[in-house]
This record gives sequence, C-alpha cells and structure tokens, in this order.
Amino acid sequence: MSKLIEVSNFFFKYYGSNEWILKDINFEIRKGENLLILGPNGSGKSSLVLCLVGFPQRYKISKTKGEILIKGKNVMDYSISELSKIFGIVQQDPEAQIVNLYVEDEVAFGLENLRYPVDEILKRVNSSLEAVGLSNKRYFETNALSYGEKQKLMLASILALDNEILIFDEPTSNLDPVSRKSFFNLIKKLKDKNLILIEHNLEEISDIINKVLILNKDGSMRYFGEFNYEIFEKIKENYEELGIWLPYELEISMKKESSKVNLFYRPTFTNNNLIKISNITYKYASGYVALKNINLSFNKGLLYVILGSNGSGKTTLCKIIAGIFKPSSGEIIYNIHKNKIKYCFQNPSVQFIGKTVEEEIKLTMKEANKKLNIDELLKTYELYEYKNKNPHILSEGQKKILSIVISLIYEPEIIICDEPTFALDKYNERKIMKLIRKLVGEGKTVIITTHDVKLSLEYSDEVIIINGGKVEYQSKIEDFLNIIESKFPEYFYSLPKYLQKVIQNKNFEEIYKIRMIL
Amino acid sequence: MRRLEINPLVKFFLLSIVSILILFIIDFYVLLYFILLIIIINLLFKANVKNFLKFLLLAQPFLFSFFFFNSVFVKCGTPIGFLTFTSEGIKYGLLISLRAFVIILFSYFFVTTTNPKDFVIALVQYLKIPDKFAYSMFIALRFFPIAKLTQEEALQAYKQRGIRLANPKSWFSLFYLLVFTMFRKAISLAISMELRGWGVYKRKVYMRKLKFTFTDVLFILFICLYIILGLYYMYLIGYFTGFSLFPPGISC
Repeated sequence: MSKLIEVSNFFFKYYGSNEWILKDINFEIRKGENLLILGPNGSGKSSLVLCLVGFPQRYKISKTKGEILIKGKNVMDYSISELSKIFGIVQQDPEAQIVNLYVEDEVAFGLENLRYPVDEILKRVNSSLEAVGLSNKRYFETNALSYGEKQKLMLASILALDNEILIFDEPTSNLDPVSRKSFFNLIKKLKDKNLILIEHNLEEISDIINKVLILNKDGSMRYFGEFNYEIFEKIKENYEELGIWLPYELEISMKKESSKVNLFYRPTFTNNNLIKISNITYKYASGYVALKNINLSFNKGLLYVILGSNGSGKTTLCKIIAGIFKPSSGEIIYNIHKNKIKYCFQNPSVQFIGKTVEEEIKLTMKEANKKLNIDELLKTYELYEYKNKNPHILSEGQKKILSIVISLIYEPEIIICDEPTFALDKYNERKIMKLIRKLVGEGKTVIITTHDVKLSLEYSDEVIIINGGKVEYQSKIEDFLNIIESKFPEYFYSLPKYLQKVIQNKNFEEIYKIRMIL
Repeated sequence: MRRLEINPLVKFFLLSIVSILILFIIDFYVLLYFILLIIIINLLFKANVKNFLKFLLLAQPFLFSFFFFNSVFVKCGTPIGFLTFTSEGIKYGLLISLRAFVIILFSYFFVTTTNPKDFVIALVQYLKIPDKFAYSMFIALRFFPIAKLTQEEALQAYKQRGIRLANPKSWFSLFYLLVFTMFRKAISLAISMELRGWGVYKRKVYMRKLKFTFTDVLFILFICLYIILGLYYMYLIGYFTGFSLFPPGISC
C-alpha cells in the first residue's frame, strides 16, 4: 500500500511563542488506513491536522521543523487547488464553517470554486445531499438547520469534492446522542476514504480505526501504532493526566483498583424545596415557543441533570430559573433569594471582564462585596499558575472552572451549569464533575444540562428530560435506570456498551460502585 | 398561485432609480402615486401582509422622528400655537418623511423578495464584481447572528454579576470578547473555505445562472410606464418650470 502521509521529526509553534506546540512527531498513513488522534486539551491535535493540510505554514504564522509529505511530496509544494482535491475537513463548530445562506449553495461551494462544469456540480450536489439525508432540505436556509444537520451539511459539502482524505476534528462534540449516532453511521459508510479523526467516542469508531496516534500534554508523541484495546493497557498508568478517553470498561476497572476517594453522596435534606415551577411557557420575540407548560421542582443539595436534544429548550429553561429570562406565562416560586442562583454559561468567556484571572476574581469580590484570599482560592481550584493570564486564553476546562469559581464567590445556593463538560478532555471532565459533586456534598443544589447520558448515570441525583420544549420525564436516578432502555432507547444506546450491559442485567449495584469510585 | 420571480438586478435598479427620483419629488400626490406603485408591486409578489404591517409598525418611530426634526428646522410660515412649528414646516416634514417612507417600502420589497445568493450572482454575472466582495456579504450575513448572540449572552452575564453597563470596562471587555470570538470563528471559516478551493481561481463558476426573462421585460415596461405617467403629471402641475426642495408655497 502506498504512503499517503508521512510526518518526520515534525515540530510546530506559532510565531512569538517560545514553546513548541508539537514536538518531534513521526508517523505515516497508508492508503486504506484510518487514523485516530488522541490527546488532552491543548496537546496540539487540531494544530497537527491543520499542519497536514499546510494551513499555518502557508500563512507564515508559524515556525516548523521537520517534514510533512503527502503522497511523497512536501505539503508546501502543493497548490491550494491540489490540496483541496486531496483533503476535506469537518471541524467542531459547524456555525464557523458554513459560508452560504442556503443548503444547496453550501454543498456546491467547493465545486463552484474549483470551476467544475455546472452539470457535474448539480449531479454531485444531488448525490451528496442524498448521502447525508438532506435532500428534502435542499432549498432550506442554512440557519434553519439543527446543529446535527449543519454538521451533516458540512460532511455533504466535502463529500461533493470526493476528497481522498477526510479530517474530522471532534465533529460530534456538541451533538445530542441521536444526531451523533446518525453522524457516525454516515462516517462508517465512507469505506473508500482515508479518515483522520480527533474523537473521544472510542466505542462508536473503534470498528473503523486502524491506527492511533496519542499525544502528550506537551505536544510530544506518546504512541503511534495499530489501534487495539491493548494499547490502552500501556498508557493506563497516567491516562488521567493525559486526559485521553479510555474505553469505559477499562477506565472503570482501573478506577476500582486505584480509587480511594468516595465522592458518592446521598443527600439528607431532599425535602427542602428551593424552587417550584408551575405551568411555565416561554415564547421568543420571533414567536417560537421554546417551552410549554413546564412543571418542575428543585430541592436543596441535589444534582439535577437536564437531558435533551439540541434545541429542546434546556438552556432557555435554565435561564428562566436563573431569572435571566422572564417566562411568558406561568409561575415560579422561589424559596430563596433570586441572587442566590448563579448561572454558568456554556461559553464561559461571555462572563469574563477582567484582564487577568486575578483581576477577574478581584472584580467579582468587589461586586459580591466579599473578601477572600485570592491566592488561596486560586490554589484550591488549581488556577494559581494562571493568575496573571488573560481569562480568554485559558483552556476550555480552566475557563469552565473559573466561571464556577466566580459564581461561588457570590455564595449561591443554586448553581446552574449549561453544558459544563462540553469540548473537554477526560481529565477536565472528571475534574469539573468532581467539583460539582463536591458542591452538592456541601449542600448546594446544582443543575446541569448535557447531551452526555453517561454523566447523568455517573453523577446525578435526579434526571429531567426535555423534548420539544416539554418535560418528558423527571425522576430519581434509581427510577431512571429502570426505564431508560424501554422509554428512552436513543439515550440508552448512546451509553458505553459496558453500562448498557449493566443496566440490561439490572446490576444497579455496579452503577452505585461506579458512582463511588469516580 | 406562483410568486412572480424577477431578476434581482432589475429590482435593484428599480430601487436605485426610485430612490434617486423620489428625492426630487415635492408633490404629495406624486408621492402617494409611488406608494400606490409599491403596494401594487407587493401584491404582485404576494408579500406577507402580516409581516408587512409589522414592518410598517416598526418603521413608525423612524418616520416620526424624520417628520419631527424636519418640521422643527423649517422656521418660516405661520407658527402653530406656542410651539415653533409652522404650517410650512409641517408640510416640509411630511414631504420628507413621505419620501423616506417610499424608499423604505421599496427597500422592504427588495429585501423580502430577493434571495441574497441570486443578488450576489447578479452582481458578479452582470456587473463583474469580484467574488471576494460578493462573498464578504454572505459572511457578514452569516456571522451577524453569531456576534449578536455572543453580545446578548455577555450582557446577560454582566447583568447577573451586577456589573453596570455604564462602566467603560464592561464595554471594553465586550468589545474584546466579540473580536476574540469572531477572530476564532474566522480562522475556522478560512480553513473550511480554503480546503474547498476558495480563491484558487480568479472567477468561480455558479451553479445557478440568472437570465433576463420575458417577465423581467414586462416588469420593466410596467414600471417605466408608471414612472412616465408620474413625470407627465409633474409636468402638468408645472414642476419642470422651476426647482425647489420645498413644496409649492414654501419660499424660505
């Protein structure tokens, strides 16, 4: 098999930076091989795939050492036209990739740029839209598509170009379980393509991956070779620091061996009602009804996980609870002062106002009229070393923690976190969830929204499911375990296979054990 | 019934001609005559009446302020009551706001009945505008809602934290946030566009080709005839014998 990509002794850094982002990377991909790239946040995974297509090198915004050969020729010797016929890319955020206002125009975009004959463009637009199941939305505005559909549209637009190598940079990180499954099913059909994936849903893709490249936090290479579950045995010792996603069963078995911490907490004051929501409806100015007749109640010292597909109304509900939005009708009875509810946004950057982390904390203390030892506070939440950094340039995990720390300064009784684990690596996900669980242990009520059903099983006390603006389900986690397979199969099948088996065997003791060791 | 489809360039030129012409019209009846034209056009294009009325409601404060300020600044004529308004000033204010109203109505018609992609294709195809300029319009349209959402969320977050918006620091951080967010999105967009061949050729091809149809010709003829009739009426009332920006009777 001929070599498609050869990377030898490759180093990469942006101009002005002292440290290499990628260090001494060596690997090769042959025709017919699919590569999975694993590594913690900030290890340079995305930078590596961009270097493969020569993007940072071409704009002279970076310094590199070593060589990247594509089909035996240096990537820099290719023209953009040639590269765009070899590589196609689907990135994490479809909003930031779509150029056009209409679906069919987006698919035709690449073909039009490369001056394909109009008949050929029409043929390829038809076949690509059909392949991703968007033929019926051909004349729709791109803004009218759901998040999952937008990612499918991006896939269609690169399928139309018939590229040899397709790069997927965490394409499903913000998709709900149904959209994610459907997206992976599409990827699995691409048998004649070479795939490069940055993805942490190992179970979903394990059957299509042949090679794996694991990067360390400092951008050096930890492992490159055949993909099989044995390789995880080699790295299991410090996998948590590495932040990489291990197969679930392996992670749990290792935790059972090593964990001494018990964070599992059963609340003792569950009858202390803090908020009661009755018949809430919310209508946007555009006329769109986001929530219909919502009835919910939230008690002290519990962790509530709100599950729901993209656009189901989770964020709107949380903003209403936090008092950011006013409901169009219905009533909310607060048994605490409204100021004691703090909302952490999905994009934590919107909350920051200071030039440095330290200034951010100082400003918050001033607003909240509190006096705390800043250094001690930052050390507690492992942010001390970033004290003088701008909050916007922190990693996603650090930003999320900082936004929670800011909220905590106000001494809230309820903290609402919108997608707190979105786009985080394993290490940061566990760190955030442990922090949340700790807060619940201290008697705070935490409400989180997520697409990750696994999180609800691992950490929640109560599960709320919202669909199409209506509450479909609210109950204790114990009850949820009993009905998840029969009532919510789409959520059940998005769980790791290990958990599916445990639930099917009604081995709930195992779930409790998992909750205790995580 | 199918909606009437007209070449976007024809609509654009209609909008441009009417906008220029309207600046020289001082007769209320001629202005009303043009308002009638836009109502006919909207009917032909089966405009959504509910949305149209909603739009008119939104345009009211703008038109009223136009009327108010233009009335106040014309000092000649007979003062009305204790106010500094004069009868001539009101006439002038009404004239100016009616002119603005006609332009707004034509713009509404253009915006609501034109596919932006078709308009860009028309600009590229007929006026040879470079693709790069044309696509910058799309990107602006695509990114505007993202910037708006980020700004809204930041303001919600500041409010929740009790940070006063009057504080210049909050405006600075909002500006920084928007620039930072848009910059990151722009990089993703640049990667996505480049790997789909953007800029490889000086001119790209377009899947859709715009044509001048018989309907376009009929539409142009109808508009020309309508405008000529209007001009003829203006000739009859003696408009072309002298020129003033003010309606007849206002001499200051």
